[in-house]
Amino acid sequence: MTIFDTYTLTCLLLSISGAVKSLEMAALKYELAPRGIFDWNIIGPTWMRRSPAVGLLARIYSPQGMMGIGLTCTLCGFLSVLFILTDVAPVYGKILGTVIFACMFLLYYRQDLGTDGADQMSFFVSIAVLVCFCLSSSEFINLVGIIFIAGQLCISYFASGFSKLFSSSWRQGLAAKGVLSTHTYGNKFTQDFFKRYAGASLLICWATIGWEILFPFIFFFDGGIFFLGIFVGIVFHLSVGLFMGLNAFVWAFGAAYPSVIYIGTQLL
Amino acid sequence: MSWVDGVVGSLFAFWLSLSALWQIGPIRDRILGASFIWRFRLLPIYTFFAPNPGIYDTRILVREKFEDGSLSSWSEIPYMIERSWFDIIWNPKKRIQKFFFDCVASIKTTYNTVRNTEDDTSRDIRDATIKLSDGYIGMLNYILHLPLKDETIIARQFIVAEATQASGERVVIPVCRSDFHPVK
Repeated sequence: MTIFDTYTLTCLLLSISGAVKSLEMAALKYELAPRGIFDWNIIGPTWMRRSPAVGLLARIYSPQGMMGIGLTCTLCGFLSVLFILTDVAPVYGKILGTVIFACMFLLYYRQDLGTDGADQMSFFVSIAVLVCFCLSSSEFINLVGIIFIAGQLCISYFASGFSKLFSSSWRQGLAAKGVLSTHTYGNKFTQDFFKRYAGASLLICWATIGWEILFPFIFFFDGGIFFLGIFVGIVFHLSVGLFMGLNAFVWAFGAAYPSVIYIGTQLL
Repeated sequence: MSWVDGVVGSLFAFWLSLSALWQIGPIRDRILGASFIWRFRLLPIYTFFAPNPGIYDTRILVREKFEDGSLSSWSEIPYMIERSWFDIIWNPKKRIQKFFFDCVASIKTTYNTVRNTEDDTSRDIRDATIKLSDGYIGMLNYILHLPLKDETIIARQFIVAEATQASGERVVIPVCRSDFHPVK
């Protein structure tokens, strides 16, 4: 896998992340409309609402505008696939990455409330794509971006696992059951599951803590263990998407995996 | 390696290091608590569901005041929809639930910041500060723009509570109760 392939694959996953987020937002027409809970004129960041471009931003952040961003991201996704499958001049990949960054920027700063870690990851990955791929031809800077993206992913897992280690709810195995018993993050299946297998919560809590803390160390292992770590990561995000409904994390965190694979296979 | 490479490489190394430090609560709160970092969300917080896992659902109760001064009974706003397996592909409603979750977090954070105020003047400031928090304003905006079932409704009041079934029994913890706010 070349650096160009790595960034193009990252662009593909970012495009899907952006398309899912913006089209989901566009679907909340009542909430996005004037005086709805996601009315940008009410919950948009103050610094944006006071900017000279407030009229244009209000249009972009309307339901129609969000639909436009969603369709742009979808088109970028198809182009990414085309660029992966065919030999195209790098400049097209760079233009694609720039458009994706613009979409991610607009989505990240739409509102402060109601955002999540997937939004953060998509935004930071897209910055690295813009600065280190789209705006630079230096192989060194290209590599810096890949290391930055992989570094963000490692920090995210390690910090999440480490803070769980200091939580009595996680250590005692109450957290998984507690979270998956809510209506927000659980469903009928998970609620019934923990009623039947109460001990499974302890196992899930410690498996999550262990895997998250150990993830950054996969670079020290050979091919087999390295790819096992990647596989567990993908299964983890698919499980979170399936059982908790956090579908945005699949694509946002998935966008950082090509960089991890590049470092693991090309550099180490 | 050109000087541009050096500058860009150093900037990203610095940003990555700050991202790592930002995960440590006390550093986030005290040493690196620069407001522009918060305002522009330039550094990520990755401590998902920890140290306090999100074991609570946000419940919102509303009652209405009529022109004749009478009050309706409290009723819960049914904004939560049953989850489905299809949510892994398409799940717009999670953003509404996360919005309310963040509103509660904002109200609690504001309350914890100003709660140690005992005298009457400070208590007024405390209450006003809570009402000016992003979470309270966001919640109020939602409540006030729910459709009016009756033309004689003049004001609404809401209670935010958190509910959990983590221990097997349903436990409900009140978070805050608003004043009556005019709907027109």
